[in-house]
Amino acid sequence: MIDLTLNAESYRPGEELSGYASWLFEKVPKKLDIRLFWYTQGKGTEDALIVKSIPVDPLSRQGSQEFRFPLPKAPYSFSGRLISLIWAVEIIAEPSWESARKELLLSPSGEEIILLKGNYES
Amino acid sequence: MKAKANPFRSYKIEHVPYFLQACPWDKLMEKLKSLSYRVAILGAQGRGKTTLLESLAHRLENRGWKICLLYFCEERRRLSWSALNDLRKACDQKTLVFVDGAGHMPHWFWKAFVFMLAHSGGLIITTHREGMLSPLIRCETDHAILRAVLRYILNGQEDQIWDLSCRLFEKYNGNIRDVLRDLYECCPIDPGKNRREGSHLKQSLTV
Repeated sequence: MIDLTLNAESYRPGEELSGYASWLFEKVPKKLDIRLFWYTQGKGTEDALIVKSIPVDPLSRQGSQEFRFPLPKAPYSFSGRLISLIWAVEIIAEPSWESARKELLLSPSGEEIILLKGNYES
Repeated sequence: MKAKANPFRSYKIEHVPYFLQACPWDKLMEKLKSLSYRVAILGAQGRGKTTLLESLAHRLENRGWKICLLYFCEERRRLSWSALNDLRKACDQKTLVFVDGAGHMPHWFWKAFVFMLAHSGGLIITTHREGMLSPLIRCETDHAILRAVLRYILNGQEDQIWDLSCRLFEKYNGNIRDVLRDLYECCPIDPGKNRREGSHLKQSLTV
């Protein structure tokens, strides 16, 4: 079981993101990373980039850790009809690949940028 | 609809499980074993060959096999000799090599590929081409499979787009991938986030 909490869900470029992760595994994982990353979703092939990764050390079957990530200036969180760009923090264990993820928003307004807003139902 | 909410976004489509035709999993596994794990999954485009290959790889990995998964396509038709040699060294009798799109390999390279991996535990490929390895199964699609795929993607709300989906199924001659691609453009349904998505960063054993 893994739990992940972010202290806020929306951020401006350059701000610091902070949060808290806790975990309880059956066995001690071989690797446990907390990652800040973005990825795309939509009609085409997905793109993703790990911006920063914090390895948990020492590894334990049960534990918790606070984390902080300085956020970059770009890219902004946005959604269009064909593509969305989503920022997230994820904690992932190997080799079980158990994971927990929390999405966040990164933009100058702190809100997701909507492309072609008139075409949306919601 | 936002791209990330579209039920037919590529991530969702790529994670649709394989819906077996008449042959159940245990019979398929039996046949695979009887053919010494050297088999071909046959079928035209959009019939679920890759999905079946990946499902098989996952099941066999859970049974203790080491899995090596390779993808070939029109733009990537072969490995370099050094990569093939590295693969040969990495393989042993407990390794199963899965190849998606094996039919893209030039004939001469395919011969070398089979020779170099003769010591591996098995070679399981997808291809349109007959005669490369003994056939394990020929993937076909029908309306029942189309409905099962739509039910999975739309969390049971497939009735709303069933007529349109059937028309697209005829238009694309049973290619479900093309049907789903078209549905991206015209689907009004937001099935919600009932299924938890796995990590977007997990790296499979892909060479």
